[in-house]
Parts: sequence; C-alpha cells; structure tokens
Amino acid sequence: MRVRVWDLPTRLAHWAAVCLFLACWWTERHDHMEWHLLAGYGLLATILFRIGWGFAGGETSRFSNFVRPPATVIAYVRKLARGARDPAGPLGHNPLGGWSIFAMLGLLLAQAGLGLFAVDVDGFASGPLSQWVSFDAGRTAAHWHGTAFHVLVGLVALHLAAILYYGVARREILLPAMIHGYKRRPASTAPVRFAPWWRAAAVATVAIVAVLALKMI
Amino acid sequence: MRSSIQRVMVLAAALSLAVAASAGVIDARQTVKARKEHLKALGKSMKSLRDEAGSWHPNWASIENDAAAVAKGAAALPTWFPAGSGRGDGVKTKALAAIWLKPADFQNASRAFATQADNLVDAAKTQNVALVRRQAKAVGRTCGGCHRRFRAHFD
Ligand code: HEC
Ligand code: HEM
Repeated sequence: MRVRVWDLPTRLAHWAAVCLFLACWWTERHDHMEWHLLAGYGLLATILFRIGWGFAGGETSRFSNFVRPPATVIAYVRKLARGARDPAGPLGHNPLGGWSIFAMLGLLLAQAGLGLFAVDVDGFASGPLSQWVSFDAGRTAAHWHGTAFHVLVGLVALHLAAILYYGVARREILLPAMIHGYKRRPASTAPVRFAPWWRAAAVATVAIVAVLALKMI
Repeated sequence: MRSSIQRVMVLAAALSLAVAASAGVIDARQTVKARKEHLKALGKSMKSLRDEAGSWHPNWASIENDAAAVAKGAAALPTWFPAGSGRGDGVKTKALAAIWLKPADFQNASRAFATQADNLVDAAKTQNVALVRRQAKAVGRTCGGCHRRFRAHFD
C-alpha cells in the first residue's frame, strides 16, 4: 500500500535547500557576491523554516520523531550490520539518518550565521551584522564560513552515499519518497499524522520576516 | 690537474648565488608582508566608511578620513607589487603572475581604482549619504575587478 511519508513543506524545503546550496557555492566561486548574499538569505530562510517545521510540522518531520537517544541509534546500527531487512521499518528517518539530518541542519544554520558576520576582502559585499564587528573579526568569520562549507560538503557526500547504500545493499529506494512523498508499506501500517497547511504558512511567514529584517538592518 | 683553486672558485660562486637568491626571497617576504598590511588597511578603511555611511548619524569627518586613506592607498598600490614578489617566488602570496605578465592590464585596473577612489573623496565632501554609498560600491567593484583577475582564490 502507498503511504504518505513526507509532507509537501518538508519536500519543498529539502529541494529548495539543495538548489540554494548549489547557488551559494556557484555564485561565490564566480565572484557574484551580490547574488551569493541573496541565495544565502534564501537558504537561511529555508533552514529557519525547516527548523520551525521540526517542531510544528507533521510527525515524520519533527525532531522529536527522528532525533533519537544513542541507545536506539546503536541498536539500529547493530541491526544494519546483521543485514536484516525490515519492510515495515521506520517510515520517516531511521535513527542513524536522523542525526545526519540534525547535523546538516545545524551546520547549515552555523554556516549562514557566520555569513551574516563575514567581511569580503573588497570590504563591500559583507554580511548585514558585520557592521558591529571589526574588519579582522569579519575576516575570521569569513574564514570559518569557508571551513563550515567544506565540512558540509563532506556531510552531503555522506548523505548521498548512505542513500546509495540503502538503495544498492538494502533495496530500499529512498529518493522517490522525497520527491512525491509516498512509500510502499504493508496495509497494516499506521498512517502518519500531518500538520495543517496554515501552520506551514505561519512558520514560513516567521522565517521570511526574520530574514527580511536581517537583510534590512 | 684541474686545480682545487678552480673547484673552490666554482663552489664560492655557487654559494654566493644561493645567498643572493635567499636574500631575494627574504626581501620578497618582507615586500609581501608589508603589501598585505597595506591591503588590509584598505579593507579596514572601506569597511569603516561603509559602516559609517550606513549608520543613522554618519560621522562625516570619519568618512572623509577613510575616503582620503583609500585614495592615498590607490595612488600607492602599483608600488606594492615589485617584480619577484608573486606566486612562485618562494613567498606565501595570492598575487598571480599575470600582474607582471600583463603589466598594462594591471596598470589599468590600478588606474580604474584610483579614479573611483578620487571620486569617493569628492563624494564624501558633499555629505550626501546616497551618493557616498553608490560611490563606495563603485570603488568596491574596482577592488573586486582586480582581485578576480590578479588575485588567486587560494594561497
Ligand atoms: C590593481 C589590483 C588591485 C586592486 C585595485 C585592489 N586590490 Fe586588493 N589585492 C590585490 C592582489 C593582487 C592581492 C593579493 C596580494 C597577496 O596575496 O600578496 C590583494 C589582496 C587584498 C587583501 C588581502 C590581504 C591579505 O591579508 O592577504 C585585501 C584585504 C585587499 N586586497 C583589499 C582591497 C580593497 C579593499 C581594495 C579596494 C578598495 C583593493 N584591495 C583593490 C590587487 C588589488
Ligand atoms: C543533490 C542530491 C540530493 C539527493 C538525491 C538527496 C536526497 C535525499 C533523500 C532521499 C532524503 C530522505 C532521506 C530519508 O528518507 O531518510 C533527504 C533528506 C535530507 N537531505 Fe538530501 N539529497 C540531496 C542533497 C542534499 C543537500 C545538498 C543537502 C544540504 C545542503 C541535503 C539535506 C538534506 C536534509 C536536511 C534532509 C532531511 C529532510 C527533512 O527531513 O527535511 N540534501 N535527501
């Protein structure tokens, strides 16, 4: 039976994050700093939305659902190591993947946060909060902003490798569900509880207003 | 018998060459260090000017000061890049070889910067915030324009 796993806001936020992450990278590498800042604001809004959705969203999108205690993670890894396949396994994130999502979101937030303070060498394409820090502090922020990016690329690679591993070694194809939202599960599977659309609109509004306020100071 | 005197002379010549070369490297190192200090000062002035122009009560004396410092730096910039102080000269620098391979292009980039910096000095005198911001952006573009062509992304 097809069961709905990921709600639309979660999927939109995911693919927006992918596109904006690539945009941030490309615009920086080609020195289009004005566009880099715009893409960065967009990514920050997306991350803020996703974090808010982690508290207000549907069951599978909530942190309380996928950030699990270490004992649960270890038990899950043991099961993975035995190679046991479970067709009725976790509908949303598994206990290990949940932490990788948490790490990616946290690091993306840190990355955007550092960007707000970063000062460009040209001293003119700089984050909106850089006006309250010294030139040297702003350059240091820019330096860590770059370091955080490289760690993120590593995490994304791990993320993709894990999806590949599940597909090849365990025959669990995860990608389509992040696109259309559904997975195949036994008919006995309990349906996932989702949040109403107006809640997504409310969280998105807060995220967008917060970022616009940052952009305007 | 190839005399040992000859051998000693060759050795001495080689040694003095090595000393001269390493002296060159030490020189280049000092040049690069001083250059980076100058450039950092430029960055500080630009940041300070931009922050001040963006604040609610711009301090015009400070803005004029920064603009003057940037213009002074712009006039001096070409002297910060003597030949032999680029990448591949044994120093840690982002200065690309193109600076010395295409001197006319580098001159043009410096001149564009100096022109816009002089305009910034004039703009600061008007105490017109919008004008100063626009001109600071124009200066910033000349910084970026030169960095794109003559400054490496990584050391
Ligand atoms: C004509 C070319 C040119 C112009 C114009 C120019 N720069 Fe640079 N800048 C360079 C080069 C080349 C380097 C690399 C120097 C090195 O690594 O030794 C550099 C490096 C820098 C650095 C880094 C110094 C460090 O500590 O490594 C700063 C900061 C900087 N520039 C600021 C500015 C600012 C601000 C402006 C405009 C107001 C500007 N530059 C205009 C060529 C230029
Ligand atoms: C480009 C190729 C990518 C593909 C194919 C992909 C695919 C996926 C899939 C299938 C999931 C669901 C995992 C599961 O079922 O447990 C997922 C989740 C996630 N991915 Fe990606 N991903 C990609 C890139 C990225 C990038 C670049 C980032 C971050 C910069 C990222 C961040 C995330 C996050 C945060 C989640 C959790 C989604 C959520 O719960 O909101 N992904 N991704």
